[in-house]
Amino acid sequence: MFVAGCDLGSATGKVVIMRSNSIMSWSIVQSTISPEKTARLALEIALKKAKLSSLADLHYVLGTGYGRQVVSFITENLSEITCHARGAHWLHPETRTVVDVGGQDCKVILLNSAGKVIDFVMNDKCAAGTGKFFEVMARTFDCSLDEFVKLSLQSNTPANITKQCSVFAESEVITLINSGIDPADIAAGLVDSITRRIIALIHRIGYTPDIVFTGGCAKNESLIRSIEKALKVNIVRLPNPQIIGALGAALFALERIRGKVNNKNSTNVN
Amino acid sequence: MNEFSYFINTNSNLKKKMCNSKLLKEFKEIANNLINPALQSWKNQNGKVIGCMYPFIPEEIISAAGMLPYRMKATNSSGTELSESCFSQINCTYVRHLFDLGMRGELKFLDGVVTVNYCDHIRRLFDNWKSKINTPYMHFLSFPKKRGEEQIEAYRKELVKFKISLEKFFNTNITEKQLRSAIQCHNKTRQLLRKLYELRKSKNSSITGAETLAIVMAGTVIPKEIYNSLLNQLLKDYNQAEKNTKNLVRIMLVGGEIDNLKLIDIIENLGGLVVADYLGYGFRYIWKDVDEEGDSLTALARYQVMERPADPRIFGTSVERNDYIKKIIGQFSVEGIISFRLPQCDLWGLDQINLSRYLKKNKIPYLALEDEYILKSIGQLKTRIQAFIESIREGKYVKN
Amino acid sequence: MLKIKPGLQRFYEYRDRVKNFITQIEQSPEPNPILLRFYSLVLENDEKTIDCIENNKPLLSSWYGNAPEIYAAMDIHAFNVVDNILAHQPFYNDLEGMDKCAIPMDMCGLIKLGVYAVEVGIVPTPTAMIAMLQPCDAQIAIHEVWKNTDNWFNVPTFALDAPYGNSEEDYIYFAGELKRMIAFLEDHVNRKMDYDRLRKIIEETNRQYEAWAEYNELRRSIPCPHGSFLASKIGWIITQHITAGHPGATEIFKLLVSDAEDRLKAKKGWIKKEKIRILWADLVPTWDIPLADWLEKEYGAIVVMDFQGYTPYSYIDTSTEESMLVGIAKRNLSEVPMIRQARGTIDIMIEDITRIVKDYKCDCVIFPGHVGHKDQSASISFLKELCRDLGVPLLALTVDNFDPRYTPIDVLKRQISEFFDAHGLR
Repeated sequence: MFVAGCDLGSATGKVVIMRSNSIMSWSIVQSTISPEKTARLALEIALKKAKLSSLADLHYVLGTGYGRQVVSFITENLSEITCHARGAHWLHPETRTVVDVGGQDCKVILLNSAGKVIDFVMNDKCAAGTGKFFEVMARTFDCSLDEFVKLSLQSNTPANITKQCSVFAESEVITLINSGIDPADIAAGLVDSITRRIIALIHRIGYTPDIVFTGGCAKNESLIRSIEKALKVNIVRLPNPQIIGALGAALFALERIRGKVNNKNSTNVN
Repeated sequence: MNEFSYFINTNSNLKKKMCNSKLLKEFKEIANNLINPALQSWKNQNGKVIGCMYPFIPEEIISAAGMLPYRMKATNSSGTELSESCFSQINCTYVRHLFDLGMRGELKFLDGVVTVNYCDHIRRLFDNWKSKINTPYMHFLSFPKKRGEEQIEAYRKELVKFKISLEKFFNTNITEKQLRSAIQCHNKTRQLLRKLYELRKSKNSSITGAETLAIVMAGTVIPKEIYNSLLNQLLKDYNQAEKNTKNLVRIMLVGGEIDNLKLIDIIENLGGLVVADYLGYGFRYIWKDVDEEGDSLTALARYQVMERPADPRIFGTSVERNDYIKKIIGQFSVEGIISFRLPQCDLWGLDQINLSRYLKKNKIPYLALEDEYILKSIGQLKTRIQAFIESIREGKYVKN
Repeated sequence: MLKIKPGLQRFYEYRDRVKNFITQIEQSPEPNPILLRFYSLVLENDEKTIDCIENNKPLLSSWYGNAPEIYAAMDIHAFNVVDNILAHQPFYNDLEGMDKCAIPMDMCGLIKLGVYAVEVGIVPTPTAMIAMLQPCDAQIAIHEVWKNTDNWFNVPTFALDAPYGNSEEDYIYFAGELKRMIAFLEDHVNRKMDYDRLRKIIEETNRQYEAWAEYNELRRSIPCPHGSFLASKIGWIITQHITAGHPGATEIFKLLVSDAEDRLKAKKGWIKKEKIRILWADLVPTWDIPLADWLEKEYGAIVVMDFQGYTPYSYIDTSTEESMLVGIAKRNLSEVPMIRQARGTIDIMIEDITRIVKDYKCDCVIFPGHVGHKDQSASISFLKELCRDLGVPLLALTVDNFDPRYTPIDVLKRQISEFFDAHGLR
């Protein structure tokens, strides 16, 4: 029996299709203004890759993320905190701390050895420390996000970016560029300033190794190295970190059809 | 749809009411509106209504004067535009919404407003209200910041001034007999509400948290005699109500003067049931009675300063508050605690730290939330609340 | 390895840094006598704290405005958790450390630093604590948090309950609180109150405040003889944050007076061409120096008065124990900076602004809108009306007096520049 996990974020929609304990396919699409449309687009691609013909081939679709409650074909939804924790723990059972740096928010999740959420903290009020900040800065540099990351990795002397707010930081960057500071150093300085925000959030709740990063920004090697340096701890790099939330959702979907969890305890159903 | 969705649907219909009492519907209407029929009728008979901005004000004195004490809320406020010239973004949204309503004339049925120096925001709300809004009678009470016999004495002096000022302004006389009678009436309210709270202890309780809050809030804006007789009937109705059969996560809500039914609805639509609280419109309001012996003003001062379950406004009470919370957890079989704070609130902001430390030590699942008075970040609240409830349900709290 | 006592390492660093400042001043071409004496007093104070920690002597955690005269009379050394953290802010990453604690971001930087400092143990664990519960909500809250921090849970505590008003009845009530505080200290710190000693200390403080008032009169002159915030910073520390009634503090005020007088006689204003006289309607921020420098150089602007420096202290009658205690009560309720303006109704703030604008011939008022002063920010309409009546423009900002990152200085400069330009003050 096939199941799907659907993670509808602010920046991207992700789907993972599983059968038994195996990932059959996955997809990532740019989010549209309609979560329903985003979910269908992502699902179409994943279904095709799994050589399935339609939604009817799926026995359970579990949703998470911002748009989770409004998609018609989602059977059940769970919070992205629960799903990211499950996905990370399945891929790496020694995970005890998950840091999810998404498009518009950042979360730190603590798990126990069974992969259950013990505690969590979120920053979803401010773009600083999220993918949005990177996006804005890459635009200021007039380059792609990948190019921005590559640029930052070239620096050994990061500039000191004093502004926490992404709006103020943008004008500070322009001033630095115009005063002839090496763009690589500025890019590295920006990564450091995001690091400081994320580190502050991590410290607010505490952390236990192993630490795993999920979400789109987990692919940003410059950011991961900067955080490793600040925490003096190695961060475990998981393959395809962006789909971990959807993977967690798919794993829960598998559990549901196996009837392992008492269905009377389900939260929200559409 | 598949075979599992039907199964899930029939077991998770959280919106189904268990108590069909007409009174419940009436109380919800009262809680959801600034003016209610009983208040309107009171005004039509030339009754006076005195707005109480916040707690620590002995409403009994107002009742004794034959007036209606009215706890002020900014229910259904649509914005804070008219408060922008008097307050800033670092001021509490409750205060800004309330002031906005006042400026719009939505509270012009108030014949007077009384407040205490509860917090920095409220005390300046009073100053601004006095200056800009035409409410005939205004009075300010200075409430102590700690507990002690000297503080009771000091607050009694304040209550004497308040009583005299009410008498003078409204050309009336408040006798000891009237005070005693008012205390008895308000105590009756507390006793009846405590009976209501007993219903929440049961594992298959027929009352929701949203219903409880609506019922308590309704009692703060209608005459107490009417309210007491309605409450009596409502208690009988609840005894006939369906019992809850769903396995919901039992939540306790901790916070200030939360009057937001929507917040509790969110929790109760995500698999939680708010079975207990430590709230101003809740436990703190109902738990203790005012002494009916001896001098009434002394009894009222003592009650407010020493006996009423405290909130962080009174220094040195965190141990007592933790003890209350521990007892409530036991008596109401609480599985997790959610605390809620309005942004810019220093008192509750730091108290969330105290609570976090205590609950962590005692391994009690805890979630700290904040949002504006009129909820703005509902999606973000839902994410956190859902994750919290899931974490309790999906795995019991075990620290590595 | 023996664990160092909380706060001791930090106090060693504070002491050594101050010693360094003193050496640098002594070795400079024209050693400033005021700064030399000031830092000597600070050094003496820090060394007392070190002595208390090292030798387990009684050490009280207190707050300015908590009747330091009484501690001095009982020979009890007191410290304020945030004092040195603020004074030495440029040399530490405490602000970043504070961000890592689970403290709401919308609170005052000083309060956040205080919570952080006790949590991480960079301040000593006191023998006893006197909790100040005024003027703002955060005072109640921070002392409660300290009591809920493991190291401080068992610290005996007495809280001073401040009434809301300014009547004689209120001062008598607070004098009662002070008596109860004395009884508490006698019990828990094992020191006795010596009213004769209290008399001498109060008389010395009377002389200090008289000299300060004299100095403030001189700042009314045009041009102002001294720079922005100067006496406010020094004055507040030597009256509230070191042993009360120190003759060295009186000497400093007299030096300030005589230096100001000399400058006035020589017609030497602080700025060559003084163009804008400002009332800064709050305490001095920790980032005052870059602000003051920029105001001077860019606009010839000077902060002639601020709330930290302006407090019309009353002379305390020392004839009886009662008159002394009521006098101290009045001083601590109604005359200490910020408590004066913030504790009760808005009337005193309005009165102070009115007097300062008139007496100091201010061209404008800058209201910093410190995030910790929520009551002040809710007084903004009264300030606007007042300044309109006084005929001076008002600039309302939003800052954190204790965290320069909150509103970056270049943003503030832009706001102030626009304000000056819009009102033709350039």
